[in-house]
Amino acid sequence: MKQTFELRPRWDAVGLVVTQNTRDLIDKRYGLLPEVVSWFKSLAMFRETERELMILKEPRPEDRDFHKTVLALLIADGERLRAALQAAGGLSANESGISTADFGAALEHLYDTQAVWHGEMTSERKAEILRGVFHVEGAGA
Amino acid sequence: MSRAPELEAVLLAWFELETCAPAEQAVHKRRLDELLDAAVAKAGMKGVSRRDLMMALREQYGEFAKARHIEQRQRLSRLR
Repeated sequence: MKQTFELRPRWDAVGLVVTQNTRDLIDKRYGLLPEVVSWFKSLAMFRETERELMILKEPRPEDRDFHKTVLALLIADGERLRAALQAAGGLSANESGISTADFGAALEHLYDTQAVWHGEMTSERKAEILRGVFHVEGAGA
Repeated sequence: MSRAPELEAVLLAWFELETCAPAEQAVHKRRLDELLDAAVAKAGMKGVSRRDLMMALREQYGEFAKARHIEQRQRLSRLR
């Protein structure tokens, strides 16, 4: 039980930051580049929490649920930003060196993350693909 | 743990994409996509997308990323 109380604050913190970013983005409060930078910061928080609770530890069912929820929020904000960037003709050169392509790549990889962690693939299909592509068997290859 | 070099390269590119700076995302994503495409093309497997391959590699990636993060943490603690 104790572990549950230790886990939740991290996900809650990431969720709060993402939710605040959503509000700012909808209200067009800070302009496009600051919103993109904020999105990348929340992505970094998400990856850090994923590392601590999903990779370095065996994830609990509630970790998977929070991961799925926060990931969906990040993707939704990312799509809003993608549309805004498209309408604005992309990001102009900036001090952080972030390009529209960098943003697009990060957003696309979130869809990969969603498929990897929450998508459905039978163990038979996994084994077939791993054998066919890398000539390896199972998870410990 | 020894792995096929192509598999090792995919796992490394994937890890680098998830840990790189925002301004390096496009370069690392392109690298990962190229490696995934090359692996599928070399195997001549039809109907396998990049994402399918990543889903199939989930356990391998989890082990790889865990080992890398632990290594990085140990390296950092030695520097302090």
